[in-house]
Amino acid sequence: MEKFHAAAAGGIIIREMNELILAFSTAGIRYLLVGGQAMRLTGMPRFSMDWDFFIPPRDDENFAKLNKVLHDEIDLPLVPLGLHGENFIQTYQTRWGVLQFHLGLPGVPRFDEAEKAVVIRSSETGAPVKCLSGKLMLAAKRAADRPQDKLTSRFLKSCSGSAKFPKSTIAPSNSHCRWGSN
Amino acid sequence: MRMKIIDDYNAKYRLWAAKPTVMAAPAAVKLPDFKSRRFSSHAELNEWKNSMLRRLAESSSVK
Repeated sequence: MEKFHAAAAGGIIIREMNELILAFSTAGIRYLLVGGQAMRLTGMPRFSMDWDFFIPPRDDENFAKLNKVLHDEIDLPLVPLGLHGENFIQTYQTRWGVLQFHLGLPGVPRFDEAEKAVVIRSSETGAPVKCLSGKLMLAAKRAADRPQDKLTSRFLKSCSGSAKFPKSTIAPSNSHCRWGSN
Repeated sequence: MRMKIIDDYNAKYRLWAAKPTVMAAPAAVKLPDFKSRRFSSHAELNEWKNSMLRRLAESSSVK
């Protein structure tokens, strides 16, 4: 029997990634989904094995909440950013996939600023997921300048030209491109 | 000869953007076990990730 007890999520057993994200929200955890999974929720048919989360680098309360929710699943606690950039990215293999926590992103302002531009997208099951805005995702892709990011950038540019939507909007997953206002 | 939309490599991005559809996340594949890691930069992460992908490609047990 699975033994995952997420106290913050009311002691439920979390079997899927969508449920983990709901547990994050229930616990009041500050995060923004970025990377390939965020692109998938934007409507780009791109698949990734990783779940990338941008989190505030030195919010001790947030780290405590995250470690509480993930307590039975991770072998090392999540820790704040070190004085010399240590712990910038923290990677965990979990039953739900590989979770990567980014304490900073190239080309993106500090978390507090990015959080103000949050775009809530709905997962395939309708769960609300806090995502980095399209504009900031494009900025991150441009800064990373990896070959695989060029395709993503083309899609995001097409989104920016098609429609703009207010931030914090949950739209049906099959409607149109949700770009966010920032 | 008139160009068809399928001849335009970039057209698919416009089509996806015009009617995006959220596909279900694929089931997590069985990866080689690894311990949690902390990195100081994306370059360090990418180097480790590439080595993991090489191991994954070489593994015959992965389905």
